[in-house]
Amino acid sequence: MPRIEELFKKGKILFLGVLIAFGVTSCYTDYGLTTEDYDVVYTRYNKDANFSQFKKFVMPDSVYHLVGEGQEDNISRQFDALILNTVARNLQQRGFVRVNSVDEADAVVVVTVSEDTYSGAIYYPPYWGYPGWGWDWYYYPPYWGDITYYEYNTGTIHLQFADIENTDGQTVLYTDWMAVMNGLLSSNVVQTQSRIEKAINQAFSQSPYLKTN
Amino acid sequence: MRQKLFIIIFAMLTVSVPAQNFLSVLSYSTGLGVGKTGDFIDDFSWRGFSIEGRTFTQRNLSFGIMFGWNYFDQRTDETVQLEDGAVTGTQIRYLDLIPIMATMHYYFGKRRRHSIRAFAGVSAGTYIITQRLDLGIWSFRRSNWHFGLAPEVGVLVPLGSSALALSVKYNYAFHSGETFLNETSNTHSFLTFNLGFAFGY
Repeated sequence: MPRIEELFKKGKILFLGVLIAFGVTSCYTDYGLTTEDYDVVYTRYNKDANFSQFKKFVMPDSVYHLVGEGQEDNISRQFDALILNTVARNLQQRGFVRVNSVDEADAVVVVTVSEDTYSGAIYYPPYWGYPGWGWDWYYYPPYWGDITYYEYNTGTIHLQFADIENTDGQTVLYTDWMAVMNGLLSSNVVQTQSRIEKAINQAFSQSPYLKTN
Repeated sequence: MRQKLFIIIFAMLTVSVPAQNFLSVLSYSTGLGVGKTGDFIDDFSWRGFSIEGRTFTQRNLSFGIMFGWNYFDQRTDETVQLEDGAVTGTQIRYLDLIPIMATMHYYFGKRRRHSIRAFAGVSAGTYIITQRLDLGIWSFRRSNWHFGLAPEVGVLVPLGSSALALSVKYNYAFHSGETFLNETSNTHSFLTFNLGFAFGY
């Protein structure tokens, strides 16, 4: 029976190669991301704002779709009520009271949605796989690289909470709190509804300072 | 660049020097981020390797060079707090760390055919570190060369003319270049746990 060191000598390079391969196999993990995994909720606030001074808010009954004049977006208006109700419910849970008149309100809440198109190109370099660093050198024959172009649309909800004093009656001049929820365009209605509610609830959840006391 | 690195690796593997004076050590390397690196990715890494060439100038002292690669990644859904807000979404965090260093090792006791030999050493050189964060449809990436130090302790367990090499190394990469996502510093530190074979022992 050959001794272990003799085996090492005979198969030195092969052994080393196997060990390296063991260390680097499947360098990059496939996390199997779904469409929902691309949803992002971003919130930002004015650190000088005293939210407890805002007791009553007014919110328009419609969601503004940010599109150019004469243009349409692909975001269905069937979600408008859901968006407005979810925002109002969260604000009321924080102690804010919804009123119908600007004259009564301390703050205004504006909800807008937009459709954003992202496009670009990914270059898959020769030999070394994707993306960036890869160790797929064992692919044969040599791969000489390729460029793949992509384009996709995302729906985004924007919430703005502003002191009524910081509006000119038409537009918000200065926002005390804002939330941007990206990735809300889907062909599946039930899934979209669920994602909208989840995203809006998360925006409030990560903004604990947004309350009346 | 990568082709050059592979040429260096295979040159080290096939180098021919008198036995007893030269050790080539190939290791499977696992890792764990500590400090800020651990804050970024706290999952244990099972991916990595290192390769070393060590020349003995005295019976208990060797100098050499090493090249390695350690890879960390992690999926998290945690909310990231910002200075004036927060962001939530599925994040995939990545760290690629490539050390290229000069090494010095001191070996305790005498080299005997069947006795385990402990060693301690330090490496100094550079780390090429690429840090990446994927969030939603956005991807943030920063790559820098860092000066670094890496103290190490380990043992050599003889297996005939080869030896099993077990070691733990603390890797510290100093601040360098532009920081990632406007952080104040981009120092990195991580532990590697190495299981390898030393040839020419």
